[in-house]
Amino acid sequence: MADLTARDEETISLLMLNVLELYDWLMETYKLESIPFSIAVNNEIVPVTSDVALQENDEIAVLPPYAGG
Amino acid sequence: MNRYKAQIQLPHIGSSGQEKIKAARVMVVGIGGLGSAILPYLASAGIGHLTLVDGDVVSESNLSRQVIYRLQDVGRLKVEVAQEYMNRMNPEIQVDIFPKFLDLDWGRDIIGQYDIVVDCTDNFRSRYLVNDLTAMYNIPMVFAAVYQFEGQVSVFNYKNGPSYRCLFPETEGKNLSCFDSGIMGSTVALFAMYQANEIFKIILGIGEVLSGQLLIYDLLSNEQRKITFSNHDNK
Repeated sequence: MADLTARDEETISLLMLNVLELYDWLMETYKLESIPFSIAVNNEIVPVTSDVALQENDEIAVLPPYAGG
Repeated sequence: MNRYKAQIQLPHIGSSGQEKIKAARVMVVGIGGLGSAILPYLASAGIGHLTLVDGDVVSESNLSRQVIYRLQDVGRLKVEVAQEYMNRMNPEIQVDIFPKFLDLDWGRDIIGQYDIVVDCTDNFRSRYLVNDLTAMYNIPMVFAAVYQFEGQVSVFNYKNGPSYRCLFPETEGKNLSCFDSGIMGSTVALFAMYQANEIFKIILGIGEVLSGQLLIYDLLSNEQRKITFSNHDNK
């Protein structure tokens, strides 16, 4: 994911109300169609279709599954 | 029992714990980077019944990280070489092999015999299959996967806990193998050791099992994080 987005972390300030809007923003901004990912808010996985509201200072983790073994 | 004296001395194990280790039936799916690193530690600790599943043969490009194989093993079935290695290492245990890739048809007939299934696969199709089979029988699946210098570890389907699909519901994904994306043997071995540790915790009933938690470790920064997740309808 860091390779695709060319960043390890980023602080964003957007008028996004919920996780689904964040998901759409990530897809559009970083063109992540080729790779599945899950989203964690404050270290807890939430469905990407969730209407869970985001709060100021929430920490978001974007997690792709790894295949290697 | 002299062989196991050091671990028996641990108050968490003792003679009764060693008996649990001896009675355990563990299936390891995939004897590549993770599988070949974990097996010597399962065998030497005295896990009584090990079953190895892999249809692949040893190739020269495996040798930098799959350290139980030697140059003269190239072309031989991995499970056969691994079985010989484990038999030499600990003749007291039973090591069975399936020289083929896991599939749904024969997998569902046998997987119910095991206490723990260890996911050492290197592709999403196999990983979802291991997940679905272990979920079907409510058998703990001890998981690790790596990408370059990072890895993920968790235990799925533990005491009706969440599954791999609860964490990653998508099934369509680009499949970068270790060989394609690059990997160091020391990285993959480290995550295999996390798996081994979870296996012993489950068998012995000690500590906090990584169920409903994903441990992520970036070895370049040494940053570690635990992400929690719960059951949902994708199981």
